[in-house]
Amino acid sequence: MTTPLVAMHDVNIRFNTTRGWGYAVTAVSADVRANTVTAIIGESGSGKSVLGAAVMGLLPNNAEASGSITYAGLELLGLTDREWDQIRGIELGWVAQNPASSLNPVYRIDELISEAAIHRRRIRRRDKRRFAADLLTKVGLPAATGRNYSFELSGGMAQRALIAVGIGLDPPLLILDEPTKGLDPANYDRIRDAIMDLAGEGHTIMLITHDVTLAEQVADEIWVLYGSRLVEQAPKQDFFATPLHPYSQGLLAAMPSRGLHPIPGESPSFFVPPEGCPFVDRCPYAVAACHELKTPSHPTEGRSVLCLLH
Amino acid sequence: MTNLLRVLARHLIQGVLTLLGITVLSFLLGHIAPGDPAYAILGSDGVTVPTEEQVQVVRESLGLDRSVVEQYFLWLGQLFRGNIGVSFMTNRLIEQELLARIPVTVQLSLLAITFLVLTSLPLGLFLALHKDSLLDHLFLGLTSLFSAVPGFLVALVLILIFAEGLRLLPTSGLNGPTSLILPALAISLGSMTQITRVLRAELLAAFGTEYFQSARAKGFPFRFAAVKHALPNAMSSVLTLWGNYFIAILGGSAVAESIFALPGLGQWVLKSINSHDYPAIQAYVLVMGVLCLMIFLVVDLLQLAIQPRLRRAS
Amino acid sequence: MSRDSALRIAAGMLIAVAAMSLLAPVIAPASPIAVDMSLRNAPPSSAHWLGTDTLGRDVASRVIYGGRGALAISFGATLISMVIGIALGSLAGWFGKFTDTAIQVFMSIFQGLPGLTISIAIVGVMGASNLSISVAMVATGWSGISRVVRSQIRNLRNEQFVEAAKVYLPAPGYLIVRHLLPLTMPTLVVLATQRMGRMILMIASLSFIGVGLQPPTPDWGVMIQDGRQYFAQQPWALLGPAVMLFIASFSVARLGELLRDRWDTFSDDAMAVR
Repeated sequence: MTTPLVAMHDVNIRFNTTRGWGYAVTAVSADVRANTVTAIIGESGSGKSVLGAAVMGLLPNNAEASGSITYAGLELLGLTDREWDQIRGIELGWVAQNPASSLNPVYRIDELISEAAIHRRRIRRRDKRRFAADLLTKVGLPAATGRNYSFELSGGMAQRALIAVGIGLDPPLLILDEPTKGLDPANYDRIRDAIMDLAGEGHTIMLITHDVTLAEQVADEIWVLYGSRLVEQAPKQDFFATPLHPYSQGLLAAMPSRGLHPIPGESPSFFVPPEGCPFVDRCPYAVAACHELKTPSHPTEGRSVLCLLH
Repeated sequence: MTNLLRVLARHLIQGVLTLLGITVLSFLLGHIAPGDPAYAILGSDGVTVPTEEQVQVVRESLGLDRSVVEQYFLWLGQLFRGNIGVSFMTNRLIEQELLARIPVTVQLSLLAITFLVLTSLPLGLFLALHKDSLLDHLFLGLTSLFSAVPGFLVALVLILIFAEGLRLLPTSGLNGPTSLILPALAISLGSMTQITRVLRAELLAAFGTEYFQSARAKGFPFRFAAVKHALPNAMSSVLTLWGNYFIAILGGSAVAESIFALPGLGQWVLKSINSHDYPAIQAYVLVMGVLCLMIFLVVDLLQLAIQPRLRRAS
Repeated sequence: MSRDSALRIAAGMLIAVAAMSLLAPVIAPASPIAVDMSLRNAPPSSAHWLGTDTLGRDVASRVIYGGRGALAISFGATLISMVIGIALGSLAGWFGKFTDTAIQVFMSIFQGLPGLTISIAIVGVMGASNLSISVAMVATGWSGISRVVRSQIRNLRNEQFVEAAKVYLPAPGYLIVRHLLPLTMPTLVVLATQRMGRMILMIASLSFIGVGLQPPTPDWGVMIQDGRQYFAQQPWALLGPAVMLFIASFSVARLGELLRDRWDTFSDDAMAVR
């Protein structure tokens, strides 16, 4: 059994908005084991991206996080800015959503890829292009891409360039936020292969995605977020063979390969503090006690599910 | 490279068209001016009561008997030969006056814009980094107050404080570089608060972008990321503003020169107005137009330098 | 302070200044131009609240009268600038192509020169009068408005609702006036207030440097120039008009700023300063 690299315990994140408190992450407890790919799946608004940002310490100013997130034993919540700056990039790598707007349009790609190494690892400026070329080759882009600007790249190229940026300091943990969003099949396959290569090199990856198929292809571990709560966590084989939570079952039934059956009903409101199971209003098996359900159960070793049925 | 050339060519064509437009404006100013230039010229030659014939001869030599359009092209032709005209007032060639006075106005305006850039840049950055601090709120409050204070009042207050109160700086005339400090401050102080506010807002917007978050994710401290990643993106609108305020400063130099008795273009044109010296006013408009076009060109070039998107877009 | 109350204060200040100027003959304790050489440089008293100037004129009355010219001219010139700016901006934005290019070149002449330079030249050539100052203000005012209107019309021109309205009546005049301009109203109102605030300051600057309203007209700019020499002996003769000038331009500009924030229209800072 490998030790957890990232351990979350009772993580709660809420946002102070003009419309009142918004609840993004509620009572999430789970571990990310080292050298594995953990896919965090869920629809938009489920809290998966916020959870990723929390691990990076890049929550917006109006966010309030409580609980505990540790990285290799180091408590992350409550780190000072200076302490964050020490571990970001070097320990934690981030590949943001929306590559087009995540790459600064005033710098060339090679500068964006190598600047962290130049400023923090003190590689020499004249080695910049070679350094960038190595990483670009690694994500399957021609080395010449380094001389381009972000607005000169196609969506798929920009996504791969952004991954090259994220692995610039070769961080053990990589957080990829929706890396396949809006890509055509060819680019999709390249990104998937790049993720598998990174995993093969021993990176621990948190893959935030709404794409269940991608999760099935690359992940070792699946987390399902719904309405700010972690409703199910399971090893990939177990999850796809026997999804336990009714929402997970609905997600899989909605996959193209399984008939595209939509889940009836609507997602819970961001502004209502979740009490109990967030899926209760859409669940065919719901009973009164579901509204009170606070803690997940552990039907088998390494699995947890937030459901009274199990 | 071809893109760069194309962009430059477009600016050049626009510049030439604008310049032609300004010559039309300047010509029309002379055309609507009251009085007959023939009389004025004869008067300056010492002929106080000219005969009809004398007037006719001068009119023909000036081309005043032709159509307006013909007159314009004649006048334009003279301009191209470097012949701006003779001042009614001093009887000196206007070129000589201009050559003596342009440096004063240009130095004053350059000092003012330098002051503007050197204050608004660090101040805007500081306020953006310390958003919602006491100083930030104080400054934002002051901005709207300052925008309602005309340059000449700022000048009077500065004179009161630095020249008459503290006796630190000269208040009138041109005696060495210190004479330009107060006038330059007077015409740039009001715009300083405006530009600082815009830079602050642009930086705050840039702090919220995804590329800024990505820079932070590399482990760059906030300040470093602010200077390296947010500032270049915030600069483009500030650069345009600096250009626009530089032009406003050139206009305002007339007020400052009048208050501080500086022998620049503005002071000269105000004197010329008093003596109905219309060719001088025309020349003033032309020179200002050329100076402004140069500013536009520099701003455009700087925009190309800081915005790869403009440089590379086809 | 809430935004609404700030808005009310700015509007109230503006109304007060406007009322003072309109009712000047009723409010003013004395004639603003009556010279009394026996009462020169008098300090403030019950008869002369702000004292008298070097010619024995009542400063308070001059201050009360002093905004009339500038306010009337800036108000009228703003309206005319708006009409010209909206008309040319709409034409350029709607028709594009040659019309657009021609209007753009025409605009660039006025945008390419400092407002003060254009004003000085026009007033200098035409001679100082209410008419020449008004012409100068319109000449400096219309191009910035036209530029904004042009870009707004261009953005709206291809919207679906315009296509729909075209079916009903495909006349450009009808479409622009009835369907497009109402949408740009908030921007136009903000532009107009900012423009008027700038005109008030510019007219005062012209008067101050001697090419605007001429003495003995009671005008704040003229009074500040007059008050300069005797500032040490009688500061009120300068401070009175200076404070009023500030209040007038501040309330107009602030009103525009607050309306801009409230309607959240774009900032025109980048284009209208000249």
